[in-house]
Amino acid sequence: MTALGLLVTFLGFLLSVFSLSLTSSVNGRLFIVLVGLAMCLIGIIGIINKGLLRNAIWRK
Amino acid sequence: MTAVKRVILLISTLAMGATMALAQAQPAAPAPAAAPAPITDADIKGIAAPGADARLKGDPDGGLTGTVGDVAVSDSKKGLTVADVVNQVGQNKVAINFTWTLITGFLVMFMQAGFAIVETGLCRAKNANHTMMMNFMVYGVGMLAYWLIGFAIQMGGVGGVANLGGAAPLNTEHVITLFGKPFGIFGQHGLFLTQGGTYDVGVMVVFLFQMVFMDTALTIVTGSAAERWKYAAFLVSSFVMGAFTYPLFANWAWGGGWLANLGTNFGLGKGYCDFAGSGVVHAVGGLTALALSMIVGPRLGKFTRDGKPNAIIGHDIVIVLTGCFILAFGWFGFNPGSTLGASGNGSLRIGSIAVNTMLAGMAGGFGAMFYMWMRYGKPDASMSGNGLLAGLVAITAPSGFVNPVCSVIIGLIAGVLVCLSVEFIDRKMKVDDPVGAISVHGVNGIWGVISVGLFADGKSNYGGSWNGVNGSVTGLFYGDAGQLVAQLIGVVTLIGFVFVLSYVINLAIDAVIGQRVGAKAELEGLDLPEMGQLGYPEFELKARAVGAQ
Repeated sequence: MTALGLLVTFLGFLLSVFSLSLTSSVNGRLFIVLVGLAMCLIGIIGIINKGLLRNAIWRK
Repeated sequence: MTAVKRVILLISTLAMGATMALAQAQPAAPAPAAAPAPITDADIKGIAAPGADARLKGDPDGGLTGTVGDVAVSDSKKGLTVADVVNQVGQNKVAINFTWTLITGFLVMFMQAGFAIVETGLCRAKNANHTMMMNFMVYGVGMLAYWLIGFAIQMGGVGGVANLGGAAPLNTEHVITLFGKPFGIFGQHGLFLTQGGTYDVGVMVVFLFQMVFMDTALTIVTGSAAERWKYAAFLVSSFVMGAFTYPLFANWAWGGGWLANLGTNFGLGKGYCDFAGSGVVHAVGGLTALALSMIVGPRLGKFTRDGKPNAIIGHDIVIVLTGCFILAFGWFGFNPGSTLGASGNGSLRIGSIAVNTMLAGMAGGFGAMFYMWMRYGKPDASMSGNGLLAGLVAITAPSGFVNPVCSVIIGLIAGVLVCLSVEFIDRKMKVDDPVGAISVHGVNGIWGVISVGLFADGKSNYGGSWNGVNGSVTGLFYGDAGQLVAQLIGVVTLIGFVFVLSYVINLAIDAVIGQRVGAKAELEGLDLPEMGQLGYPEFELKARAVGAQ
């Protein structure tokens, strides 16, 4: 889960960088960057953190 | 008189009147001004310096000190020349900027003391020595890493710092080509502060100022991982962060890297703008703190078996709030000092930057205090302190680009945001952050970066351009949506790259030496098992006495 979450988070970053070449429109770039941001947050909160909570120390 | 004569007389009269009126309307042509006579060496040789006899009597009103006699003469045989005077003017400008930058750097260095006592006060007494030692030694560990490697990566290719006399040797950036544009990745001059000609007075000033910023980022992490972080792991993790993680992003934002050039290369505003480091310093520190807190896990007893969080109260609110004051004081170095000068290139905006800083801090304190008061019935002291810090963190990036009203808005939002974020991280993510560092620095650092893209008013002028793009930094609310996009790309880089890099590095350290202390040491408190000495030995004696009774 951690590896997958890190990958999704990193892909969100790459998508935002690639917005620079995918379109020259400010609105288009804004949309792609926001999608990248959402991917980053899903990667950290939705995947990495969720995976860690399954094996959290306080569950034992 | 015939009709024809009357008409001719009328026309003549009108023509005469019109000519007179025109003559009055047009100003007399100025006489050609004589070309100003150039000042020669002979002119300034006649300026008399106070005599030695007069100086021997003392100078109680300062009228005799700082005169022509104090201008450095390059050739004593020639005496004072125009070139000497002009060179003195240039040196005075750089001297003012050196002094300003160094003194503000000293203020930022003192923030380490503020961080140390805030974090220690928010931890339990049984971990006081351990927490203080992490904050104390992070200064040395970070500086060592930055001197060896980090500074070169961050600033080795910045390409000159005009306010500080150029710092010309910092001129070699490693660049790759992406999408047909140059992407600066890391600097290459400045290892050990000697390589590449960097044994240079200007470079030394740049190093000192940037070093204390880097150390601020490192000390954020010690708070979030406090009370369970193995001391040896802390040393290694901090060294790597000071050598690589922090300098890499700082290069991209401040060292001539690709984020700063989003304006010149892709037409996005003035590129990524982070005046004093909401992103570079605070978000990098806060996101690394998040990564580490997730890796080391929560303290024993922080959560019940069903995941409900327990409040673990710090041992000394007095030093917590004192530390917040020290940090607020140091922030007057952090933000106004980031002009890197007080003379030239728009540096007189330092007054505005200082006022923005104090206003946002005030608004953040109010925002948090009133939020807690309304939600929980009491004005929580530690969260009010965190609100002040959140406001200061948030204004750090926009402080040089916004007006006072926007500063208050930014600070107020930060004060509420830090409370919401602490609740979310504690209750939803169940990540244990004893001092609220992730919320104060990570979340509000990101808010500060975004706020530049919203509130920058286009009135600042630092030499007519920023990041190589002519004009002033202007946010969405003042007409430039491209600036917001540049800021958001910076935010995604922080979350998607810096967080991931920090996580991977600290996972590797965890695999090799382990990040977390054993359960026995944690329950006992880390002072004895990790440091060999209690922070408050008398406290323990008193506790035993009470127990004996």
